[in-house]
Amino acid sequence: MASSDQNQPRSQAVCCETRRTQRRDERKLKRRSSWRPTLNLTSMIDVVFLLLVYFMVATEFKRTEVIERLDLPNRLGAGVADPFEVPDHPVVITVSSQDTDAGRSTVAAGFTIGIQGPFPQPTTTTSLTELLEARRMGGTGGRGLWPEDHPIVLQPAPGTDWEHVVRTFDATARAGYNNISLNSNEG
Amino acid sequence: MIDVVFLLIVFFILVSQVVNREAEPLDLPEVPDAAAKIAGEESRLVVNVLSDAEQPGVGLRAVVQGQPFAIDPEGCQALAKRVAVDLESRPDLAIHLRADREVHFEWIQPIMDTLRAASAHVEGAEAKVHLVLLEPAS
Repeated sequence: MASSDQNQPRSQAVCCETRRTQRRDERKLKRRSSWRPTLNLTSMIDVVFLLLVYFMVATEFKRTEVIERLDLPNRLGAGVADPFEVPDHPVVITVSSQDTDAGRSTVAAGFTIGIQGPFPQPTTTTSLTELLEARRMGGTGGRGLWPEDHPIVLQPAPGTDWEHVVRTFDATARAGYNNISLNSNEG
Repeated sequence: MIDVVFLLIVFFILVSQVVNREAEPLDLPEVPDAAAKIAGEESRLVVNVLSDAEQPGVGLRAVVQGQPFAIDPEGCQALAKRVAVDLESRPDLAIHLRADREVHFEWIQPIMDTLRAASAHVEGAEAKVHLVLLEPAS
């Protein structure tokens, strides 16, 4: 009897235990059926915006600027002339925009280049570069006589756009000369 | 953690970006396949030549570090003084000429003459003038 008395509450306890676990499982099942996957949006938006800002800041929208050397000869300074130096006659290159109308609002489409003297007249910047390169000492062909620092004067006509002046200057500099000056004044 | 790291990165990028106050917004000339190079870190003075939006081809004014100078004899004199002051303190100064592509050359000539006069005025200085243009599109 005593053992059965002892057994009964034990079996009751086991019974209760199993019921409890059953209920727990049921609850779990219920919870699981109502559970839906959700993303934590707040932190994701945080990170995405940060990435966006980071790339916007890191991207360079401006195109880089480059420079061309133009060493203005210091003509106003009192230089001592070398009496034995043969005076160099500068090569004068004229530039003029095709359309010198003051009323237009954009850069003119084309420009003309000319060289004063008995030279074949260049039509494009490339032909100007080739012509000057062929006449430079150590240039193409090897028959040039002008040293690298042969004076070259660019004479833009009135109404010439700055862009065209710079393009001609670039063509001259690419031929290998380093004594180029910009001067619109005659003489 | 990632939040904080990115914030720090962005913060430092913003802080380290030195705003170039010397460069005025203007249309630089563009030369295809130019024999130009990227400016080094040497000391420089930028002279901007802005064009007049209402009168195309006319150079409106020259701007040096936000300070405008008219392109006329008085303005050029003031500009020469301004450049000479900088040349005296730094004789190896490079002068960058940033001119609008539309400006006609007769407006740039007085500025070049001014720069030459300013460098002749300062003892031992030689004006190293550089033309600024856009990097050719690759």
